[in-house]
Amino acid sequence: MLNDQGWLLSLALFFPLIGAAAIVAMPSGAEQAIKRAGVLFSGITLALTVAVMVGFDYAAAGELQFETTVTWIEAIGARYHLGIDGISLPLFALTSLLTFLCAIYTTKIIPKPGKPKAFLALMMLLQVGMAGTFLAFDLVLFFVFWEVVLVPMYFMIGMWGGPRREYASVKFFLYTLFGSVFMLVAFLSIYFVATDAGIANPWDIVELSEAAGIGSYTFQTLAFLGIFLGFAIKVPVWPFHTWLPDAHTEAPTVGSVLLAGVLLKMGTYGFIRIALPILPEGALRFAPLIGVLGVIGIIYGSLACLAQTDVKRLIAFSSVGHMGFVMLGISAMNTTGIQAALYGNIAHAVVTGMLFFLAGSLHERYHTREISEIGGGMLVKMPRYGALLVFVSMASLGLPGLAGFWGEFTALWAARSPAPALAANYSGLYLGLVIFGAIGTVLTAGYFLWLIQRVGLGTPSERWADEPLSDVMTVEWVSWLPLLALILIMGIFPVIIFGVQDPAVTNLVSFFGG
Amino acid sequence: MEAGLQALDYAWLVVLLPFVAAVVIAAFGRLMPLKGSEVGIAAMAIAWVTSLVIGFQTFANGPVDALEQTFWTAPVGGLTIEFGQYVDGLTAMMLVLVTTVSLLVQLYSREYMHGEDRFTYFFAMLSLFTFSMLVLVIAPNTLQAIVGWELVGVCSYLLIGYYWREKSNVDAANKAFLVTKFADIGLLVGVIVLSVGVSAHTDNVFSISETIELAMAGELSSLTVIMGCLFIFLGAVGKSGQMPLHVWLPDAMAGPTPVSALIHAATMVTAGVFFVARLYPVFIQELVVMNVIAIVGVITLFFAGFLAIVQDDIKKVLAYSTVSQLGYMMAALGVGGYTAGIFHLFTHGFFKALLFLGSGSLIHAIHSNNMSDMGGMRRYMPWTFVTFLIGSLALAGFPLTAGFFSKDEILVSAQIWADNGLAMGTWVFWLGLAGALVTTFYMARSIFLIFFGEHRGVPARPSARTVADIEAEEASGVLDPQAEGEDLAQAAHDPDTSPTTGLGGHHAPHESGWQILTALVVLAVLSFPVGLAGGFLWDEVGGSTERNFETWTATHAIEEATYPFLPGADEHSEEGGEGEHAEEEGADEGEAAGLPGGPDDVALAAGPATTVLAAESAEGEISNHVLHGAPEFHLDVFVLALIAFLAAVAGAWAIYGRGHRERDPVLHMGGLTTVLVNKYYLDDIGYRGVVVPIRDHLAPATSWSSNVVLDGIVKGVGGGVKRLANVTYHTVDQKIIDGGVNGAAFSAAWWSNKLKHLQSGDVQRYAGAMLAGVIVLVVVFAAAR
Amino acid sequence: MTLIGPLVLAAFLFCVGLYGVMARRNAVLVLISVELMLNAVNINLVAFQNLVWTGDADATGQVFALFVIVVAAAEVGVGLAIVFNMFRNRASINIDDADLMRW
Repeated sequence: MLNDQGWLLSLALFFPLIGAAAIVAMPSGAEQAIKRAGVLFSGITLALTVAVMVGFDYAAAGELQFETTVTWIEAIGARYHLGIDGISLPLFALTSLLTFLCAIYTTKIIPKPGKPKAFLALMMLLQVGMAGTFLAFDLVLFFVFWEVVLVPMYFMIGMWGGPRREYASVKFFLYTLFGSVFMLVAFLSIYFVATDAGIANPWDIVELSEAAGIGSYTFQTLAFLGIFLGFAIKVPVWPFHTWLPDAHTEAPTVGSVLLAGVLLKMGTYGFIRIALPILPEGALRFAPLIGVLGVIGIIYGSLACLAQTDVKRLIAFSSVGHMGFVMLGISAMNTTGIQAALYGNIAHAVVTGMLFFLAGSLHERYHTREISEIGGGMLVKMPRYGALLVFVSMASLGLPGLAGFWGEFTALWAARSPAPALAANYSGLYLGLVIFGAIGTVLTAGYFLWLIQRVGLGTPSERWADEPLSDVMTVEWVSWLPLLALILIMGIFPVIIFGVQDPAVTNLVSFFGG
Repeated sequence: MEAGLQALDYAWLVVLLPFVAAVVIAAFGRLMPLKGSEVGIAAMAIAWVTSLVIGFQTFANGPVDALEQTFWTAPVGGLTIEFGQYVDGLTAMMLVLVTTVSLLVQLYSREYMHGEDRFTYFFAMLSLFTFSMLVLVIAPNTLQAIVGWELVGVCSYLLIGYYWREKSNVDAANKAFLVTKFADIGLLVGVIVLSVGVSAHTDNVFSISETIELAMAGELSSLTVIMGCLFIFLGAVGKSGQMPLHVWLPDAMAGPTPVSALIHAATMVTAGVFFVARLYPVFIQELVVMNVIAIVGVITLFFAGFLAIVQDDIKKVLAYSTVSQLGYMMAALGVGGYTAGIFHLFTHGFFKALLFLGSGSLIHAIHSNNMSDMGGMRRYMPWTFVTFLIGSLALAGFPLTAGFFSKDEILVSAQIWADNGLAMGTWVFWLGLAGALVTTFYMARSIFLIFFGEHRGVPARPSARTVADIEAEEASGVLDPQAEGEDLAQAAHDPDTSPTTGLGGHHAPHESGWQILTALVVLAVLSFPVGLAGGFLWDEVGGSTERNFETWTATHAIEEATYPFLPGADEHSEEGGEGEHAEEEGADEGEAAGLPGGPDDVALAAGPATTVLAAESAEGEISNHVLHGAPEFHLDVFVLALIAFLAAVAGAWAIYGRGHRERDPVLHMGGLTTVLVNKYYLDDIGYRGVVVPIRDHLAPATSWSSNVVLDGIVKGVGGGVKRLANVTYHTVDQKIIDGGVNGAAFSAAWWSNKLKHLQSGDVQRYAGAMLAGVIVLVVVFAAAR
Repeated sequence: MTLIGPLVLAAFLFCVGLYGVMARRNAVLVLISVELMLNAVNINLVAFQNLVWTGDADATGQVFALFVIVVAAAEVGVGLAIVFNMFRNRASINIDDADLMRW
């Protein structure tokens, strides 16, 4: 069976490192060759990922496949434990796909100051960190991948970013690191408590999950709090979101796409994979709070969007709202909620990633992202581009038939019927969350319509009337079409994601008895 | 029964075809000879024929078992997402309505939208719009219904904002989308509440049939039903333009006229009424829910009618009229008039489409929406005049037209409701009667203003296309030759005898081309038989017993449904159900045995199965069976309605029939007070006593409350949210929350700035510090000893 | 022989050295003062070995003193090299002038 071949997964995970090394070895003058190499290597990685997807046994999506377990750091008992199941698979595939598309996009559009060699090498490194986070089943390994992500993204923002790039990159780095510290402490405490509880491999996520709640109630609460801080900042959950608009606004297009598309997902993935199964009692205690923060994020993010004047910043704030739905799903702590959260994750990655692509290309053309300076008429100047903006905005505001809807609706549904322990005590609260979450969808529609009206519709202002603005270019079509197709396919056949996840989520939820 | 119903299996085809058409048009439409319109019309024609077959089969076979099929499912933890089809009489009725209107609107648009920039796009959107509505119509579960519902909303947004270069049009589109989206909160929450209630009993949580079954069995808690139904009704209030959420509807006139016809007749606004009807057995479980529906409906039908009186824009007259008619439908559903409500939905679909398309024909001809720019049009556009008149008569409820039957049925339903001792029935009856009077009045006014009197002049604007223009276009090869030929011919044959066509390059209004007229004539013809379908029994259609609209649209659930809040519920319902059943059997037997007179007797009794029950209620026996409230012909109601009709027409004739010819049209446009000072009306005493208070005080006051108060609240909420957003962002987010984050970093920087002076670079000072440290340590340790 | 004599001598030498390190401005003199302090320690090491732990066959005190002498020699070598370079660059061996290692 192919899905016993752990080496394939490891190869797919670490292949970008080979790519990065090869790119570094190339002479920096040969920019075209470097860009092609970037596409080639990320393409091969994608092919390897597809091989994993082909070999994956979807009937047994609840179990770990392509598993590798090797002793890694003997002194502390950490192991190189890699694997993939129905929860990880879509996220892993998403990572490879987005990186590939970013590499294609970079062949023609690279932010100042150029230097594709460094840029692509960093992107490859980033890919290893991101993908590894979704595949690691050892807490130490997970933490290493988690932190590896920070460095390349720091440089991406800091070197290729906008005018306030230093501020944004430092803020991004420090804020995330701040959360990681608490997470690390929580991991350590889990390790010691698990050792006392007689778990053979106390770093192992699978074994810890199967133990179904180790330690005292107090321990679970405190450990969950630590992990919560680490993941909540990454998601970001209100009120820990303030790094996000700055980072997104300053980051180069490709950086924004990966940031929204993958990095934020690491936080919610962490909640689902680590925080909930390992610390179920702590999670139950915090679930109502997570739900409230999620809904505040929904309303708050939408309101903030209405006040934005910068397109990219608006999209960044919209992420706060959308991730609020994901957190609402998690807070329900049942299979529907987890499914909703994971689906919302992927839908948001595809849709918002696409929106950031659009915002980046908009900046390439208008050389500004101020809505008032663009001043409408995009559909006149660039009809295809404007149509894409409308299409993706509709997906983002949760139109049924496109990707965004299913995650939101199922999250709301799940919140109406949360886990029994929650339903017993917080039924009224959760009903309120459903209603306010639904109100959030209207606000979301409001700001997107407003954005479309101010940017896309109307007649072009004098400033742009005679300016030649090129419509969507070939390279943009190539790098966008897969995402556009995904938006549509995920909207019409949500089963392609839900179905893959279902066994894994059922298995996962059985650990905390949701 | 089952043998003849294969066509039902293909209901999905009716839904899929417009979607395929939309995709094909969007992708290849520009390359086609007729710019994609042929694809849309062809697809819709096939869908229409299929619908007709489905409609006929369901009609002929009476209340049929619903065909429920699932095409694919997705497990999502505790719930299941399913897509499929659910075909019964109600579905079939909607399929027929939607495809008929959509087909005619598309045909009409070929001519109406000719030469528009985004002609192809327009056709793609029309097909998509129809598709969305059909997704809702055949939905076997509430989730699929939400999908269709929301898609309808977004399509309407894209079509209302079709002329998006003008800001006001975009504003209207945004308003339509957001107001309905606001109401969709209700739909979303309501569906979630209901389905979570259902999830305790079955896995298929969104299934409409299972929801209904559970509700009728009393398995759902009262709270779940009340909350779920009221929330869903909120969604319907927005979509179906009930007060106070109707504000988007008149603004939606910013879209091209065919879109208005589609929105107001077949798609979009009917969605709310349809969905309430679809879940009707759930709604009737609680009297509170029914009363809320009835109150909202009756308020809407009564007050919206007055708004139509003071409008000058013909499309706005029709828009407010739609709001009012939707109020009728809701009110009917609120007083147990299931059949009456959806029958009115059905008939209204045809004659309102006719009226909108007729108004579009007028607008196309004179390039103005204002009735004050029209006048005397019957001479220039006889076909439009006749068809528009038929539509108006149907809307006003002239005997033997479609609207007459459906509106009377609503009043009868209300009467039966009142007979059961429920006060809402009385209200709906009398306000409905008054509303009918108002309806007749404003339609008569429109007819007189548009078609009678003198033509008040083409506005001094050039006609869209002159002969020279068309020739120039032909030379450049932009347009297809066939359509150009028609236009050329029309332009050449324009009557030059019009009194106002003195200026070169301007044309007198002329009749529209064959495509517009075809749509008008077909709809005008249909405005009769669709009413007959409900009004009279048809014997032996399809070799079975009597069939009418009631038997067509009655689902099995509806047949069995009872009102739990009516006294003496259970035994009566069983009796009634058995009795009816027995009677049907008897009829079947009689026919099978070839007994003459069996079915005929039934027919002569003017609604046998239910007349008995109506008689029962008249005798004071109370029935709690839903279909026992089905409408019959009641002479008293007929007479009352006819009096209202005649009074309104007479009133309108007195005001508009002769008067406006002698007055300056601009003065007339400026305000209705000019009518007051006109001597011509002074001798009409009833005019002062009745019309003036209504028209000059009540109607403007209603209009004011709609435009200023209700719309102001909408705007106020929008502005308030904007302000709140600014505060949230600038103060809370940037200052307080982000300030906290930055503050932590800045305080660290401040302290290090102070402490850095310790590092002086003077090695000897470091040595001194070390020495001091040693001394301190020594002293401390010594002291500790 | 009593322990008090070498200890007093060592303390005196150490204080002289400490004073030199703290107070002199000439870098060479500072280095010499450091040597004084190191040698004071050496005296202590040898004295304790000979007078207190006489039974220690390994002669740890003496060995340690030898280590210190070697380290002192190395230190002076490096130190003088720094002073030499400083003089070449600035024409001064006043340690107050060498304050580049500050904030």
